[in-house]
Amino acid sequence: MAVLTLLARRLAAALVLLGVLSALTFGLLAASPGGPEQVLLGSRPSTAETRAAIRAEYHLDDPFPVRYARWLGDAVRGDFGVSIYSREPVTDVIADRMPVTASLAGYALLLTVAVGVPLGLVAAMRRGGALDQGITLAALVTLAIPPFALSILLLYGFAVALGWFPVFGAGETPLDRIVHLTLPAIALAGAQTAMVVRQMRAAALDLAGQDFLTFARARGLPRRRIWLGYALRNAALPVLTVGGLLLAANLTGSLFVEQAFGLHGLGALLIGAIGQKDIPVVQALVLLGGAIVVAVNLLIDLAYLAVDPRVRHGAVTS
Amino acid sequence: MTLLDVGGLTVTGRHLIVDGVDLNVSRGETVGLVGESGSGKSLTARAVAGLLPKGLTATGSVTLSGRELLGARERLLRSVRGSQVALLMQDPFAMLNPLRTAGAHVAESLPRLPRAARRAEVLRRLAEVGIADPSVAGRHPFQLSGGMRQRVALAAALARDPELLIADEPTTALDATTQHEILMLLRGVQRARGMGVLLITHDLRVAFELCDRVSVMYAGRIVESGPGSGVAGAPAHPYTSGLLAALPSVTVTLPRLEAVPGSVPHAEDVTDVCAFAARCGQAEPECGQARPPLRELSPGRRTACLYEVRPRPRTAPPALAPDAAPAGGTLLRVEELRKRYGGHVALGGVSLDVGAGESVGVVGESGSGKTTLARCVLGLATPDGGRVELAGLDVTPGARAARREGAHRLVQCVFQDPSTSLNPALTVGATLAEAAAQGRAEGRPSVAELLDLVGLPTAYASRRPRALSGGERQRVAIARALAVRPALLICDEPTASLDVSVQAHVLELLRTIRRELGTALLFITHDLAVVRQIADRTVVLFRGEVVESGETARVLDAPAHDYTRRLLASVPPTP
Repeated sequence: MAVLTLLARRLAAALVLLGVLSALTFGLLAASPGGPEQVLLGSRPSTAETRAAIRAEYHLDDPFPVRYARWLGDAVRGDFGVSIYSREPVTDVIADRMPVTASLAGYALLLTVAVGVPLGLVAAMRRGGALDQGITLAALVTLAIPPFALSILLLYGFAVALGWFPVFGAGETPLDRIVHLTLPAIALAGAQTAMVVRQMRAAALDLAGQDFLTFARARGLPRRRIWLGYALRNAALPVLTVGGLLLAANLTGSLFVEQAFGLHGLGALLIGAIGQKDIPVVQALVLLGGAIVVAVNLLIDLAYLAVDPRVRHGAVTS
Repeated sequence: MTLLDVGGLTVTGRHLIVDGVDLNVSRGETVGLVGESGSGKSLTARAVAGLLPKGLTATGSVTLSGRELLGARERLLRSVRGSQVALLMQDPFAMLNPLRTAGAHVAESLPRLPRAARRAEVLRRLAEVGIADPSVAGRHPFQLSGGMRQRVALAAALARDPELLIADEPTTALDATTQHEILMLLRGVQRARGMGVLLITHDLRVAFELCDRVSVMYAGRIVESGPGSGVAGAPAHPYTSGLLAALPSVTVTLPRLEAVPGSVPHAEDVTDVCAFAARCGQAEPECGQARPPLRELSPGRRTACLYEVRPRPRTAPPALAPDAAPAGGTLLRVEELRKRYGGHVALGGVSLDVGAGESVGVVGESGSGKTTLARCVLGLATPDGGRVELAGLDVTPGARAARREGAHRLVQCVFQDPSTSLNPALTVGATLAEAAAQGRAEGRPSVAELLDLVGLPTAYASRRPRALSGGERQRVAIARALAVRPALLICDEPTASLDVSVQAHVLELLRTIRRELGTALLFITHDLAVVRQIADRTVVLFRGEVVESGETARVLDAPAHDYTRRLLASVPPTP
């Protein structure tokens, strides 16, 4: 029961959020310099006829709410209009770029979790020791390196000097893609891993002083059970939140890394669209970004429900 | 036959904490290790289980069934823990994994079993600790009460059938009646299994009620040991004798509560002398020259005192007649106070009066609404209905006619835990000056006067709370509350987190303040012995309702309500 109310509340909040975002996004076009018809004309010659044609095509003479409603109706059906720059449907343009960004985001998250969680745990276990200090220092340094600088370092070291990885592009076959995306994923995951390490270390340190860990040891439980069932599971909650937010950020495009590795992802698309004043594409990307953040947050809530019985039974609100 | 043998156990961290403790527990025997906070008793228990916190090291010897555990490899310790020695800890709210069910806790501790047998075994184990309802196995710790959690923890600790159970203050965090149930359960399980139990407690009464033998710990060493009845009847060390004298009694109102003066020294400061000499009433020069050995008085009876302890004149002290009810009118009037938190009724129409200069005790368990009552009177919580009247003014929080300004000069509060109720960043002097500035300008007490009032030296004004002991902090908190010269002082369990000897001091201080300043007290407590010492009248709260009220002596000597009788029955007898 508590689960359903929680989900219903979260869904309602998500819808309201997306509604506000869509209104703002649509307002972009109306508020753009030179008026909507100028933007929609793009590079085409601006004559009385073309302008009239545009006004008719986009129903620009209708009142704002009616235009918004029509646009929203189309958007919900997946129709964001046509890119002013390429004259292709916006949906196709985005669908074309999505796979690269999605695989990069997934790959980076995998690396972040696979490296960050164990390192954070180990640092907490060896608190104050040389290993802890090494890990903490490394995390701090990694956090301080900007992603594009790390990209260039990796490119120079592993792609140019050693020649282990390709310099450019996203690859065609799945295996090829993994090879192509390895360096970008590492560049993207670097700072994020450092964040997860610090988060995990703090969460695990918090746990180390807890009576239930001592009590588990006092009962002679095997070490594996204590670390997985007790430490990892209890420390997972704050890390889940951070991991989700990182995933959302990566999915909406990782500008610097895409630029550095010449990947045609959503980040590069967004930069291009803004440069070319391709408002329909920008609108779709902004709305997509909003939807991704909302969806990932819902997923985090669901994960909390799965992990923590206190949330499941409505004893605490997350 | 000896199960556990501890010899010369020393625990050192940055300082010496436990200094040469000898202890043994036989099969089927319950041994109590009694001491106040800082005596090293809990770390002794942890050292025995090989679970000392990081940074502490133990030397000496700990043998369990002939096997040396101290310095043993973690591998060996892990095979011994659970199956031979189990540790039950103090706080049932922190001891269980919040993400696992009660049943899972027991199941994971059991030896390997097929699935179906495992489920039946879990239920059997829960039944052993008095949980008959099988649905409890599927519940999570946050859905269980403190007593239930402690039962589940006990079942988990016993799952591998250990020969020795170390129980570290297993009932301290529980209500009086639950405490009694858990102690009786512990005794029952111990007898049924013929297990050895090492019970760590600060409560002499609990130790004497449950234990065959008792060892008293002070400043990291054992100062006296012997059979429970022997130690209770004729203490052979001045410290034990002082602790016994400081125990409040539920049957008589003592004219004076004897506190042990001073505070516990660090173990390493007193390695070569008698640790208690500085606080002892009968110390001789010899006590400061060498460390007194634990000498044998009779078989099984030892003391670390060189002399015979002078008996305290405490044979049937004259019961103190309650102070005549002061002539003043009603100071606080609470009428039909109601407060709900969600579906939980904290106060279901509570009415009570406190006269000027009168002391009224409010007794009840956690969840009885006694703290909510205090918060409503203080204006910290808004009641759903009812009235609070202070000196004729309607001060009901949230009510339209309420006039709260000035109410803080009429009523002040002393909270339970002085370690969190004082601002750690301010010196004692700054805290007191700040509090005094809230009062009227004329007759505003100075910091020195306030410190003097609670019996602290003036030099304490420049100290910060961290540099004070628990009892001293609580005295500062009392001085802070008195800074505006309130007519009513609300005390919310002010001694619950203090040691017995310090508790006596604080109670005596509150009695003196009431006598000399005429401050009325509303004293909230779960401890009937404490209420006997401090309150003229007592109100018993049960689930947000007043079930009984009247003169303290009458309520405690001739209880009319079942619940009051139950509370009284759960008080361990005062030796």
